[in-house]
Amino acid sequence: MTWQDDIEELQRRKELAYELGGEERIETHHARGRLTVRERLDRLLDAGTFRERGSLAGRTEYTDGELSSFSPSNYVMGTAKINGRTVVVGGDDFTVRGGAADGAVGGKSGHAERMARELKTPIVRLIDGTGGGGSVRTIEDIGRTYIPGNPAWETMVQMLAEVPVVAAAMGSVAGIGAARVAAAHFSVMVKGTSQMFIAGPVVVQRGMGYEMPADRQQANEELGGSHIHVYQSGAVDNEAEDEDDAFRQIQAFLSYLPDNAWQLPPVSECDDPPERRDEELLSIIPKDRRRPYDVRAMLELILDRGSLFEMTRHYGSNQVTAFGRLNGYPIGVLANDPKANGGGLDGPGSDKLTKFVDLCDAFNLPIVNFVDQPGFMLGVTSEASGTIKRGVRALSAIYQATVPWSSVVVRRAFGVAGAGHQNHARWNYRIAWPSGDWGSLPVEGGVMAAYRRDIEAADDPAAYQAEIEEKLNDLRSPFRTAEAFNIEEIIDPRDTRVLLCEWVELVYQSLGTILGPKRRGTRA
Amino acid sequence: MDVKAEWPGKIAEIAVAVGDVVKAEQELLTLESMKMLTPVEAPADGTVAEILVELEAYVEEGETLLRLDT
Repeated sequence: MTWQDDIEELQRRKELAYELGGEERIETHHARGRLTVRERLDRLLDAGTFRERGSLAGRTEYTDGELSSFSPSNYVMGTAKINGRTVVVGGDDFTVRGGAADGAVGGKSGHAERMARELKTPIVRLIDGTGGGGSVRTIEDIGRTYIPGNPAWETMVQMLAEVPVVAAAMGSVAGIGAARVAAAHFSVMVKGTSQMFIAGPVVVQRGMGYEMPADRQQANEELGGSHIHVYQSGAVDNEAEDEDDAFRQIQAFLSYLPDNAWQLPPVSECDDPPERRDEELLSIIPKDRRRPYDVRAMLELILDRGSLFEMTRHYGSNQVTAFGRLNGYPIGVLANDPKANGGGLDGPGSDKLTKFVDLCDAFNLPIVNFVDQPGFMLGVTSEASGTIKRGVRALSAIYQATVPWSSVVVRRAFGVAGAGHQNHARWNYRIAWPSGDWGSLPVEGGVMAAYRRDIEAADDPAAYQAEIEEKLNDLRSPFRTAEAFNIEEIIDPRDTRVLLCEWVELVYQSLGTILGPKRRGTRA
Repeated sequence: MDVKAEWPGKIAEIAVAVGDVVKAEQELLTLESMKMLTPVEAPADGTVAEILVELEAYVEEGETLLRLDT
């Protein structure tokens, strides 16, 4: 006697699980331009590495003691590898009960979260579900209503301090599904086929009296497409062109991070020589202070070729947050984009800065800040949006960060935001380019404020103002600042790469002393 | 197609006139914000149908600057 019969039963049940919600529903799902959860896992993960947990879970019916119907759990999860490194991965199956969380059976998604926390591996959530309570139909099923509790939330909050959390919105995602996307270190959504909202169009129309388009897809898109969450709300970091692009971005994001907060980031081979000196750096900053330049082109010239991976590009676009490598060592990159409201730091830019600095600090990534900061964004709109409060929160993140920090002042550092380019109580590796230009206020704006009485009393106020400006401009040379050791070193911009490569190698030697989770986690 | 200001600022230059045929990414006008002259580029190929702002005017975020027939 062997257990062969039971093995065959096991096999039969697994095959049933692979049928998902059935052919018809899979066809509808494909017709909406979406892959099934198992197709997604195949594309995201290294081939043959998925070790499923809970493949037998589902809703069943028995006739005369024999299994007569099986509807698999709509949450598929397990461990797997991405580029050779272990992750926990879980995805909703929209073809079973619309991916509703109560169709997962037995708290499978909480199991996946706890597994990642226990194994200290990154987690990837592929979210394609309609919400926590699922359907109001549940009330009829269980014969009562229930007080909602966000499942596994305690674990999810702790994980933001311990392991990289990646979330992708892969379809129409509502309620707890949307919250699971937002509570991540890196989130991505697919243009056109994924949407995210607190509640979908039907509920919005009923509850708010807000007229939504009759076409369901159009209504979903209007309410929570990537144009909303990637470009306006900042709830999702990146937009993907299609599902494969989302998987590629997830793989890229993870390549810069360690498996957990107790480890060093993964150092890779680099074929770009650290001593490369790009001539273009000598002229990339225009001599005319009022002319912008292409900040991304500047970063590409300094970092390892092809290593720049930008996060949250379209939200708070004055502030650039990216990952990069220097001689193979991963770093967090901050920069200001002078083409986006002159580089002035606004509320969205501040929120983005807070999250990114926390993220780098959580996973021990040294930060290089390429500073060209004219200050907080001025004006009524900026004041009303709480720029100063959101900016102060970003300053807290910068002052709480314990990772090695380098500031490369490429041009402006003005005002409170300009001062916030680093924690001045620490030692930082700060260098400046000859284009450096700094102060509490720029001369052009500050003269009238500081010399108003003198200017107004002058015979020719305009000429007198110009005279003061000229006098102060003569004192504006960064060399004068260096004489006082107020800027530690001015360098040839072409030497930036070699100096930063030397610095990064040095600081990685001492990174081991700051490993382990930071108590505050990441303000996602 | 409406071309809108992405952030508040002053109109520092207007590089096109009504009737001009423009290519995508061609500079239409310059917005001065935080003492930086930032070009506003055409989002698509088209013809300038209407210019709604004047030189030196202050514009709010989201304000329509000009209209393109595409």
